[in-house]
Amino acid sequence: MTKQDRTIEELILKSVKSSASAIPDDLQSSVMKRVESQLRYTTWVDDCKLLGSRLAILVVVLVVTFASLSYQSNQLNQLTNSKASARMKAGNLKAGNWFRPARYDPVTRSAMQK
Amino acid sequence: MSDETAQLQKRLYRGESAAFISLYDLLGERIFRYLVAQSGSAVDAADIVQETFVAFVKFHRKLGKAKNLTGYAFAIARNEMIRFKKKQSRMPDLDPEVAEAIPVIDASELTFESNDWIQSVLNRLDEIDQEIVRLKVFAELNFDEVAMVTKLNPNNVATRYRRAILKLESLLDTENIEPAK
Repeated sequence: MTKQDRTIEELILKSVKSSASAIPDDLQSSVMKRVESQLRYTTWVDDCKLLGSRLAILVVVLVVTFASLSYQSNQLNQLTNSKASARMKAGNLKAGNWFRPARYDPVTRSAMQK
Repeated sequence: MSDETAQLQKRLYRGESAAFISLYDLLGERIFRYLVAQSGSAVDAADIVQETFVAFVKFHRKLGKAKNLTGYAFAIARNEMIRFKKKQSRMPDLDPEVAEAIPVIDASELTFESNDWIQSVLNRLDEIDQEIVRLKVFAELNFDEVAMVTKLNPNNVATRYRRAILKLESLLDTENIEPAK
């Protein structure tokens, strides 16, 4: 920076500094009031975000649990249906004995006639 | 970065209320000076300073992590000023009857009368150069900080600044503009 640059810079700066008292006295207090209120709001928003993220995790856990239970129930249902159809083929399924276990031949492991 | 600034940034990151008072003590006056020079009104500048500090709270984590606290703070102040101007330009003109009913605030104490000669010569420069001079001289930022605020290359900022100062010097010489005593 040249001497000339410094001179004009100093000249401007001197003039600016001489009017520095024009800053409103109550500016700091009004700024701090706004800051305090914004801080309270930011804290509240942060708390809400934390609560929201925890709720989201809980919802995900519940959905996964429900989906898993639903899948297992479906699998069990299919197994029950296939057993029932096997018993039907074997002719041992009559009205009222849907939930009675099929009787199997202990040697051949095939369904036995009633 | 000094230890003091690093400590202040840690406190800002944590969102401590007292840290914002320290930040005001550190930069408040310079931001106000820059905003008065840029907006041309001390009343508007006071409003923008408030909005700037509200933005500091909103982005306190980014402010706490900023590589250059001063540069980042002035970039926020500049954005708030642009937002303020946009908002003002969207506002409809007041009904003359309503305008008459509003008490007039005496802003004479808030104006920078002694800056009139600076403003008159600065207005002869192009907008970017004006802003660079205001950031460098009024806000006392270094070239890196000015570059951060204006999103220009630091070398480009330095060149533009030197050219602007030369132009100011010749304006003061040729047009006999009298600086304030």
